[in-house]
Amino acid sequence: MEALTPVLMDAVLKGLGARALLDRKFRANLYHDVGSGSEPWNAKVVFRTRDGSVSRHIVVSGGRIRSGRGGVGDADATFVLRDRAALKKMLVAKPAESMEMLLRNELSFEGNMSVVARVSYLLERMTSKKQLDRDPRHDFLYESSLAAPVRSLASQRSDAVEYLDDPSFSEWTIEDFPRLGRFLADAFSTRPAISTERPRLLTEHLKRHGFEKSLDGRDRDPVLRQAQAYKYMMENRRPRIRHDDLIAGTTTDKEIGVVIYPDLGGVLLWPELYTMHVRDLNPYTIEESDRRLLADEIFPYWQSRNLREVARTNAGNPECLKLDERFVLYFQWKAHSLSHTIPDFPTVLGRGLGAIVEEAAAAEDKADDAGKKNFFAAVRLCCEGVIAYATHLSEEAARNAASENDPVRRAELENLARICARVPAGPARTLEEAVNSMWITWVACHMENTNAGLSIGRVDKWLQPYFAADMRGCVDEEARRAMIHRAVELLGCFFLRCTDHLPMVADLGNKLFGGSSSDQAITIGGVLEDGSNNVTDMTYIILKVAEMLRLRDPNLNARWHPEVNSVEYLRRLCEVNALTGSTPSLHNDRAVIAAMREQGFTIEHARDWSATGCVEPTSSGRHFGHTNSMMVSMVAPLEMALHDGYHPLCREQIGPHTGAVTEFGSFGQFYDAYLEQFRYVAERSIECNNLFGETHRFVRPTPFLSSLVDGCLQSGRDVVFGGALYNSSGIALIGLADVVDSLMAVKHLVYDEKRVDFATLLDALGKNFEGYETLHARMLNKVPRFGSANPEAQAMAQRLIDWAYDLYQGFPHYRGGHYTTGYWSMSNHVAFGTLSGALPSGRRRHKPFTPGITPEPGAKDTLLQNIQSVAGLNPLKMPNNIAFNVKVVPDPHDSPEQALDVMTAYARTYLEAGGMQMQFNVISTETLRDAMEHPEAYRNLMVRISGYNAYFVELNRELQMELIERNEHALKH
Amino acid sequence: MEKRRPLVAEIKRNSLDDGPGIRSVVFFKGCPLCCVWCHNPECTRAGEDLMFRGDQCIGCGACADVCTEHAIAAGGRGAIERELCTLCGDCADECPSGALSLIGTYHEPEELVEILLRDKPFYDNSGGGVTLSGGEPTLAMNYTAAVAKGLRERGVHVLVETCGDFAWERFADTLLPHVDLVYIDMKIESAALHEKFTGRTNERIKENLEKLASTRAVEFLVRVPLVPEVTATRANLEGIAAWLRERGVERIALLPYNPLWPAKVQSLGGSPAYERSGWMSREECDAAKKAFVGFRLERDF
Repeated sequence: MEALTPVLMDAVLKGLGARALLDRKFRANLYHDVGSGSEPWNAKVVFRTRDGSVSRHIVVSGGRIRSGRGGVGDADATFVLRDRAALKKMLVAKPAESMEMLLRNELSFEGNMSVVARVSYLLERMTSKKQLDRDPRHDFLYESSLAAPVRSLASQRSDAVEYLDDPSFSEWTIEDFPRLGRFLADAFSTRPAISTERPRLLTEHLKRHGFEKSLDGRDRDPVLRQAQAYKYMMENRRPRIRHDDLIAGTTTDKEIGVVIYPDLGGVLLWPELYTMHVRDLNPYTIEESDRRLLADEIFPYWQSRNLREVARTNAGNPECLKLDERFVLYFQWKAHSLSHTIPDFPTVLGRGLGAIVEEAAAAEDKADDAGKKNFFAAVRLCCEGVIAYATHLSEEAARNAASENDPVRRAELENLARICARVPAGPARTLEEAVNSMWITWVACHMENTNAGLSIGRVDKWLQPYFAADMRGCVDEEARRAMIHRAVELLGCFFLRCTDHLPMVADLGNKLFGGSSSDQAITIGGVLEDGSNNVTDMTYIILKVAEMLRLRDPNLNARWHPEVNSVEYLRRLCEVNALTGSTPSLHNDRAVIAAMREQGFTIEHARDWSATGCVEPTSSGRHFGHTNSMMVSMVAPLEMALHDGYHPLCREQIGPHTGAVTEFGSFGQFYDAYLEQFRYVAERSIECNNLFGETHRFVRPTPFLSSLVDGCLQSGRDVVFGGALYNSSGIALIGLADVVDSLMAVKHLVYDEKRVDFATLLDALGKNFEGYETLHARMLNKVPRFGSANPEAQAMAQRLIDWAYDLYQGFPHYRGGHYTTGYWSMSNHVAFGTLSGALPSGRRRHKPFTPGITPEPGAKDTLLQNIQSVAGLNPLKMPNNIAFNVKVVPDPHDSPEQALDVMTAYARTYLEAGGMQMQFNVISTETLRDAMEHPEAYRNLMVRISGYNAYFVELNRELQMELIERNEHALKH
Repeated sequence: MEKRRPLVAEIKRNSLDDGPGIRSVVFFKGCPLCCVWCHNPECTRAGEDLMFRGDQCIGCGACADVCTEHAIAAGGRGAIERELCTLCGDCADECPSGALSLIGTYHEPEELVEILLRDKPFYDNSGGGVTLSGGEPTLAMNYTAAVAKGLRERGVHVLVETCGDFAWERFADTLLPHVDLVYIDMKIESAALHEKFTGRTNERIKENLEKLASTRAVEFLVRVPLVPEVTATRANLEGIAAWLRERGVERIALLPYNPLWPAKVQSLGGSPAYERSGWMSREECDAAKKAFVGFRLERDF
């Protein structure tokens, strides 16, 4: 059959040419709008098998496509297929399936990825006969009902709580907040839709004024260019107020909008324009007019201007970039987002953006250097743009009020009109003003920065003063009670506003980051800058909101300081976690603060940390820490060490030659080989990060965000140029437990006990342990593992963690500052797992690694040993934090109090012993299995993956199985 | 060399079933009774036992290869000739899957205390502690007392789970002062039936229970194991209830039958002396509860 593949190939490519010739509409895809008219697209693309036995090319020019045999000089992009079977599969595959091929390494690319995306789009257009109907399989997602309301236990006032008598509001459920109930139902029954508002305005403006050069031919200053485009977007976007909402403004022009950032990874959606609404995971709806807009005007403009391609062109397609595109070794987030940070909301709330405009204008006048002058001008323009948007919201509110018949709603709208006329330009005075100021600023942040991990910070700390002021203004008990109810409702509206947008995820991303939303982390509790207690009324109000809404995003993170915060508060955190299934995650304030001190933060700034994206600490509003700059597989270098630098799944020599393991006389030699491979991967990953980081300075400086990060206005520099007070980039290292267990297995079985020689071990791994059942059983049962509290395995884990810390801290950082290491994985433990062979730990081929820093689930219940092992690791060497998963199941026979006592005891013991972070999934394996079979009954079943929350029914199968296979610990008496 | 006693069959950590809070349970080997339904048959004998769990065996035959006494037939799979076995433990060491294990480890009391202290923060934060169980923890009274004393001195809550068949004076003098809570079984009210199903009569158990109830020397909880057709008969349960009521006992725990033990007996080379493969039905449980109307039942089921 495969002999016919070249014939099929020829037919498809010839078909492309014929279609372009005969079909005018199809031919339109070969032109693009450049602002002043349309131009033909010119490109040369090669398709070949890895062994070169089949090789074809197409040349696109002048609205025609010519195909031919063999390669072609200076190709813009090359599709490399593993073999003929893969080539055939690609020709008949849907976009989603070719993504699958990418992950299985049947397909890889060289050259411009946007050209690849555009050609894939053409191929998809040519082979698909008709418009695909919406897939009815997805309907349950939007039509099923939500879990019943839950009720919390009564609690006592504790910590720094001032106004709440029962801080868990045990008498209230979601049914006491009808507005929130309606919004919640909407959030789950609305299909996400692609919004083109942002990319349209951005592209429109840049086409008119030039990107690289202005129309009069002068180089444009990137910071100023971005600010001018930003101001244009903010002034021209549609001001919307959701029906019945207490908060004005929306992230997009859709109810739930998927935001496109074509300057970064947006172009990757190109091949899916006509299929995304029927794809299996996270389908998006899209209007036909938006498809045309993206395909004809927006994507072509960014095809060679997006960050990845500019970096590729500038650096000559370096090895580090090619490795990123294999997905096997590391995943670089800077190509998609630079957002993982926390804006300085206290300044917006306390002084207002108007004050920043004035400050920037004064600095602009005084600045002697053109770069600084431009930066200050940029800050001013951005803030003016946001203020203009707020003014438009105010006008919209007034318009809506005028046509509103319901007097209650009319009063709310009139109030909103007043609020938006005041904030965020000026300082907030009430909780309502503060929440609106925060939200409008948040929308503004996402107009500039990717909605991937940009985080909100210490909402309880920042809003408590406004709540307290409102409470002081209440004349009697009844008014106070109404005010508290209103505060819960407002915060509920804020949480639900945060669900009005989703990050754009190409289908490949569904495999890599299954079910992830924007991960807008909110952090509560812990201590204030002076070390005093920050668990306040607002902390508990936010917990109530989280408990009632059970939303995956905002991603709630709770700080608990063992010496300052109470056990009652910890117990309430566990209760909310039990009632919601998976949120908040728990952080040890003492350990995180110590780790930040070690990175050079002052004690006050260390204490002012918030979680970013998943779990990563950022000093709020002054630290540009891009805490998820990359996710790196620790396992890939292990496989490379086993094969002298060759990666078996990639079928390529990737790393340095470190020698044949069969010649190694000691474990030390193997360990050193591993470190050398690891160093090679780390060096390439850092090179890639620095390359992308430097490219951001040209493609996408972020002057609005810079206006909200302390240090930039003082230094006169954008955050991408290192303007922040503190700079760093955070790494997530993935597969620690798998690597430690594998190293222990090699040490024990090959060297200490000499049970097996290395040649046999390699054969067993290659055969995925088939025929090696005895050896496999021995690996699983007789080798000391990480998480068993075995001192040798523990020492091995610490040794690796220390080594990785020193390695990354030693790399130069393009903005100044350091690279920080952490051990959490989003869902990449599954994605990297599918790209890895069998390991000496006994883990089989393609199986997921353990999530984050979580030990491998063993046969026995080892929860306490796991807790002790993870808590025993040194937090100072894991400054980018960890994610430690524990799955517990309450016994239905027990009272909630008893289950809560046990859960609190686990958490408290872990945190007191020095553990940095812990996240419970309170769900039984049985329920998860049932949810796989009956997804319609589990629409809002929430689970924590590794650092973030997701709805179980939206996850890919591999992730669902990983959750099911996690150890389950009964919480019973 | 004389073997030192008592041996520990297992230390179960993170137990939420054997007393308040998070606990470690020490299962000592050796028991004066031999109940036909014994849930912990690996604890009956005071000496070591070789345990073979068929469900974990991968049939590699490594055990047979290493056995110098030829007590395991080639191919393994649990074909152990127990008479030939010297309990040397080589096969368990060699077994790659953990299907074979040698049960019974001796620790000096202080060493055992140290092991148990590993989880002290969990005990402290949950109101838990250590449960000394078995087998019968009062068999080696001095040893158990030393362990209990060591734990108490370090602030650990100590619970003793006993069948009740011990010498009161010795118990009161040595162990009792170091114990916070006693769980004592009342299995069968009739002395004759008690002897039939457990191997010994229950006079001493009743005496001890009476002393606990009358002296209130220590907090205690009477537990009644429900074994269908043996203890869970209407006559027996009503008899127990009446007997306890007369002595002013108001709080008890009923332990529903757990059918997983016969596999353990087989794993030790024995065969179960009692047949019942299923869990108790709702009706059976309710019937048992009915006999104890007026009592406060710990942990409803």
